[in-house]
Order: sequence, then C-alpha cells, then structure tokens
Amino acid sequence: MEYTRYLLENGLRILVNSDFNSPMVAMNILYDIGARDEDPSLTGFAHLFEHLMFGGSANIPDFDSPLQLAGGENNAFTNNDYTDYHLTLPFQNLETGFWLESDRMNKLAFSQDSLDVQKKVVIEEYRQRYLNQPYGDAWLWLKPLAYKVHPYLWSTIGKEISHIENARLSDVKKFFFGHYAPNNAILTLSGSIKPEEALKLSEKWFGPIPSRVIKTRNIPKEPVQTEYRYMEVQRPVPSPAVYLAWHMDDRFSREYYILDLLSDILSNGMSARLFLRLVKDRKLFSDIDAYITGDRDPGLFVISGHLANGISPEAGMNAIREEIVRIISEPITDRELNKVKNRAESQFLFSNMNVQNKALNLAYFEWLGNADLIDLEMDKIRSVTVAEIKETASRVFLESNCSCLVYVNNGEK
Amino acid sequence: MDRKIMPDIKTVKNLPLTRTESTHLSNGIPVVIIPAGTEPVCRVDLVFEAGSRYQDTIFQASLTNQMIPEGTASMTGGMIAEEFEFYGSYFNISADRDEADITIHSLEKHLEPILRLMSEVLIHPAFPKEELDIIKANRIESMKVDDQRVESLARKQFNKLIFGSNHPYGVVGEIRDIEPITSAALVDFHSRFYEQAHCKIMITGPHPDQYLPMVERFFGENWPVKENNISSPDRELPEIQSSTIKRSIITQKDAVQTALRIGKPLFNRMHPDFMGLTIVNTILGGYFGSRLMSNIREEKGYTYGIASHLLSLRDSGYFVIGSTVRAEVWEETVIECTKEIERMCTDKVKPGELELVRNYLTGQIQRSVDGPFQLTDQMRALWMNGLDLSYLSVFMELINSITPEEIRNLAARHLNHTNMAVVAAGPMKTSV
Repeated sequence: MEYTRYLLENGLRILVNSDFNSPMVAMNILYDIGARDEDPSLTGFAHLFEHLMFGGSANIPDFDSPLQLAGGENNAFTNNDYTDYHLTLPFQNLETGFWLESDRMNKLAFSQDSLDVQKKVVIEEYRQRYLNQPYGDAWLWLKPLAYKVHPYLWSTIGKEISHIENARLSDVKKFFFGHYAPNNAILTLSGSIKPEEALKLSEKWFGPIPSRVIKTRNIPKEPVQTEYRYMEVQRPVPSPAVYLAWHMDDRFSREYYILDLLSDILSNGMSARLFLRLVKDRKLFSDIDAYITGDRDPGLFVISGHLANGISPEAGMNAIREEIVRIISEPITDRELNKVKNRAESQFLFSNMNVQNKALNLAYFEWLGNADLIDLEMDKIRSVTVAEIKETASRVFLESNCSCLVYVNNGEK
Repeated sequence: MDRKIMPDIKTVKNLPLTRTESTHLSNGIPVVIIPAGTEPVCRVDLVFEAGSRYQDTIFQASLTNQMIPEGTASMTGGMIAEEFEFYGSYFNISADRDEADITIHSLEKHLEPILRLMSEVLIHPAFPKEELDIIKANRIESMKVDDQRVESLARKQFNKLIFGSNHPYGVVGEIRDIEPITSAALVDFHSRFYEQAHCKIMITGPHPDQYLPMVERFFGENWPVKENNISSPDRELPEIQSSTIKRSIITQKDAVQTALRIGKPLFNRMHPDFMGLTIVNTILGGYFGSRLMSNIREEKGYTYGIASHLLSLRDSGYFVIGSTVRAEVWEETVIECTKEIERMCTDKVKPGELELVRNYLTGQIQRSVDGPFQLTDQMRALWMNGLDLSYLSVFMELINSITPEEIRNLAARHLNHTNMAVVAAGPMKTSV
C-alpha cells in the first residue's frame, strides 16, 4: 500500500494513504494500550476507558455531536493489545476530526457523571454479550484455563462485573496520563487528502500536545504448559459444546502464518476438513470452527464446536483428535494448501477496498513494527510449506499443551 | 488556535453519482452494470423473487436457497465449495421475505470458471436428500440456541403481532416446521421461482465490459426459456391484519436482561412519506446521537444500545424500536420510548438538532455509496423497488430542505404510539 510517513517532535507517528476515488477521509488513531496492560485487580479498564473517551474532553463537552454535525461517523474497539478509534468524514470537513481527536488526546474532561453512566452501560454490554447468550461466557472460562500468568487470562470486558463497578475517577486520570499520549499513538489517514495537507493539520492540532512518560510494560511470560487441563460447565444449553485450545507462538513468528493457514484448512469454508468430515460425513457436530486468536504475544489455536443432537462431548473430542492425527499422518495435499493460500490472497485484496479498512490496516501493521509489513504479508503466507505444517502440528497439538472446556446441559430446558 | 472553537464546516449538498448501465440477457433477464473499483476483483449478484412470501410451506424458500449449492448430478456440495474456494472466490446465499439471492465475489482473472460452475449449480441443482437431512438437523440445533435468546424470542413475537401470524410477512417458522420439508418441495419451488422471469442480475467491478459477455454466455445463452414454461404469477398478498393483542410479555427465566420491541406496520420506500419519515426516524433512534440513545443509554445507562428502524418490504414496511435492557427497568424504558415518540409528534425539532441530523444524514448517504460493493448494496435495495440511484439525490434535497413543521407532521401522521405493539422477553420476576 502506498503511503507517506511523518513523525512529529512529540513522537506522534502519522501515515497517509491518498485515495481520491473516495469523497471521504478515514482517520484512525491506535493507542498502544490494551487489556494486557491492566492491573489484575482492575480488569476491563482499558475498555471502560474507551467508553469514557466519548464523554467529553477539556475543551469539547461532547465528542459525537460536533462530528455528526460535520457529517461524520465514528466508533472504537479495545482488544487484548491495543485500543483503536476511527472516524470517517466528508473530505471538506476533515479538520473537525483533527480538532476532536487532538483535544481528547490532549486532555479528557474527567467527568464523574460520564464515569457513572458508562459503568452502567458497560455492565449492560457485559450482560448482553457474555451472560445473556447461550455459550456467551465460554471465553470467560477458557482464557483463565489456558493462561495462568499472562494477562491474556482475562477478557477485554473484564474478569468480573465488580471490577467495572469499582473503577474510580482517580484510576481514570492515572490511566490517561500513563497511556494516552502522542508518543504512544499512531495516526493514519486514508481517502481524499494529500500527505502535505495531512501533515499541516497534524502539526497544527496534534503538534502542541506534550509527549508523556508511558508506563513501562512489564508483562509476565506464560510458562510452558505441562499437563492437560479440563473444565466442565453446566448450563441450560440446548446441546453440549467443546472448546479445545493449544498454546502457540506470537504474531511475529513463522508459526503464526503456518497455523493461520492450518486453521483455514480445517475450517475456513464449506470444503474445509472439519466441516466435511465431522459435520457432513460423520454428523457429529452441527457446526465446528478452527481459528487462532491472533494476539501479539503468544496466542491460542482453538477448535470449537456444538455437538449434533445425541452426540456426547467425548465422541466429538475423540473425532477432533483423530483429525489432528491425520494432519500429521496423512499430510495436507498441495491443492489443499494452495486453496487456502488463494483464499487468503483474495481476502487480503477484499479487505483493502475501503478507506476505513485501509486506515486501520496501516495503523495495525505500523503498530506491529512497520507499515511496510503489509506488502510482505502475502509473501509470508505464500512461502508456507506442507512439511512445515506437519512439523508444527506435531509440536503444538500435544495433549500436555491443551486446555479443554466443555458445556454440558444441566438438565433444565 | 482556540481549541474551544470548532473548525468551519461545509454542508455537502450534491452526491457524485456513479453511472450505471442497464441491459438484458438474451433470455430476458434484466442486468444492471456498475463500473466501480480499482482492485482486480468483481461481484455478481443473482437476485430472485423467491423469498418466503412465495412459499407454500414454512422454510420451503430458505431451504431451497440454502440447498442450491449442495450438489448437482455430477458434484457434491463439498466438491462445489472446493472449486470455488480453490479460485479464491466465494459465494453467499440468503433468503428473506421478498427475495432470495446468490452473490459471488471473485478475482477478475478467475471469473470465467466461477461463472461456469455457478451456472451449473444454479440451473441444475440436485437437492440430494442426504445433504438436506444434515442441513435440517443443523438448522434445528441453531434454532434451539436462538429460542433461548430473548432478542430472538422478542423479534419473532413482534413479527407475528404486527403482520398477523397468517400473513406471509408475519409467518414465523418453528423447529417443528423443519422436519416435514422434503427434497420434492425444494425441487418444486426451485422450478417455479429460480427461473428467468423472476431473476435480476447485477455486475460490479472495474471492467464490466469484460464480465458481461461471460454472464451472457452462462446465464443467458446457456439458460434458454423453456417453450412450455409457465412462470408462476406474482402472488398478491392479503391485507395486513395486525393482531389485536398490543402488549406481549414472554418469560425466559434464565435471562439476565429483557429484550424489547416496539412498533407497527407502515409502508415501503415507494410511499411519498417514506423519505421524510426516514428523517423522523433518524432523529428519534436512527443514529448514535439520537434521542433514544441519549435518553436510555447516555443519560440513564439502562442499555448498551437502543435504536429505531424504518424498514421497507416489497409490499409493506414497518417501524420498530429495539433494545436489550437491564431486566428491572424494561417497563420504565417502554414509558420513556413512548414519551420520545410523543415528543416527535407534538414538538418541533430545534434548529441545532435538525442541522446536525441534516449533515449527519448527507454524510451517511455519501458513505453508503463509497466503495464499489457498498454502492452495489445500495443500488440493489433501490432496484428491487423499481428505483435507481437518483432516489438518493432526491433524498439529499429533502434532507436539506425539510422543515421542523413537516417533521412533526410526519411523525404525528404515522407514529401514533397507542396502536403500536410492545413485546418484552426477559426474566420478568424482578419487574416492578
């Protein structure tokens, strides 16, 4: 992807992709702060904080109204590793985006009212997404089963609702000044804007913001798992479900690409192995999925599925294990591997078709180390071999490296 | 520089419209061509008047649609999927009340083999019983999950109340309706509705001149209209008879929140008031800064989100407010929604709020046609109602000219809350 890079004196990195096919400009700000940076007694805070970023800044009482007045739309998300804010505006009104984003990077309003309301909103989000859906709490159990030390053991929403209830305004202030700063952020733009113009606006609005001392990151390394872990939860679910998770290497490793492709071979699409064999041929699962968590630090390779009517979790898990043995004993064919590589390539093309995705991709790869990595991504995927998949699978899919969560029906409807 | 002062903004008045072209295949299928995009990828939409309103038995339409790629005389569903996926292409299938479709995304360089395959799959599906049994069993499992979700319980009940459970738009499928469906019913539905007279095609990508001859070859020449073909006549829908029940409470004891639906049947996009009412709906609950969001989420913290929608069907439409709220406050939320609806009908919107909504909506229209495939989605929704993209220019003019009085009058004319259906699904035990 073509882009121009600038670095302001305060440490803010700016990357601009001009695309005059669009009448809009997408603006993306990624802060290098995620749930993994949280205090274990205040989990869910990075995400709660993301809500507070919309509750007014030092000079602007409300973020959304002026943006909407300028024809804009925005959203944000928080994950284990980073927090991302994005907006799109008609190019004529882009400066409003600079005004808004720079003021909240400069200083939040720190309103007690906003904190009180957003705590309630986030608690309802917690309930709606995790507690009020069948199987909705799976990750709240699976993560602490697989991780014992690394902060990936808690979910972005938080370990428990009380952590959100306990958040105080003093924590909010400390968090802001310790993590929100130009030298801890990446600003990207894509759309109808020239790089020089973007630089001028950036210098005007973001230039005066002082750099800040960022809290040093000291994340404990997850020790190697040495024994099989099993957990069963009883719920009024319609059918049992199984989740199997194996530890894998981090986002920078070759293993990441190898296992990403393997997860596609197993479950991406209607001709994928697990779907054809376990859903269609053997009718053991009503659906099944394999995926990697894709985090920056060492992540998980997960296979999860809902059992077909009358099938026991043991029968389902045994069938998954047989498929894992097959990866190693009867290697993947070249055609299978080429198929998932072709699919990855087209998905990559499709993902770069609008300005908002382009701005996010630029920011994400820059955060990983360098936006130029975008153009190397396909080569890395293309270079994976059948032999590497077999070797990696035999190393990762060990029983002693596996955590298993099972949902069983507790007898209620 | 004063950080308290907002930079000057401009109101965007004109929409740069993309040129689309219309043509027909040799067998009469109408085609819209959208030249758009710069990447070497394209999309072909095959849209059929084959939604659930046309079916004789519940699930006939959606299972026909879902079973089309599950096998031909010479290929299994797995082989078909493998071929698509090998070329880095994919297809989506979906069926709603009015239409059913197959949408293909492909790299330009592989479009020819992909269209050849899709033509075979679409025109000669085998509907193998073995595959149907699997799909039915798995659909039942996913419906069991849905039946535990308060959102889904509320949605189903709301649908029955506003359209009446005997009307084709009001019919709600239950698990017991799946089992009786046979391959023969799907073969029959396919032969009557997946045919040329019920089909429309859209082609999107940077080089449509290259794709059109391929589309003609595989879906025109290759698919002649049979001489004895009797196209199923368009089915006239009966009058909508909303249920006389206006308030419905569903108890789901394990739930920790209550799902709400409030609304009524209205009209579709062709109605002269649809555009104006879209603006009314935006102010009330159609964007993040809406009155419902400000009141229920941002002031009271009752919910993660609340929104209202104005939806257009081919022969009707409806207005609905939807939210999932803290269980204890669902009745209070209903009262607040009612107050906000009433306020739309009695008070004139203030100039500041109206200016904001004008600019937000014009921005939304621009966003809705930005990017080749967004443009296709927008165009498709219009074309199915016999409209084209010029509708958006007219809408843009109305957004910039509508007055506070007109907004109030539109609300008063169509959003009388006393005849709206209210559905709540939740634990109920803790309600006041």
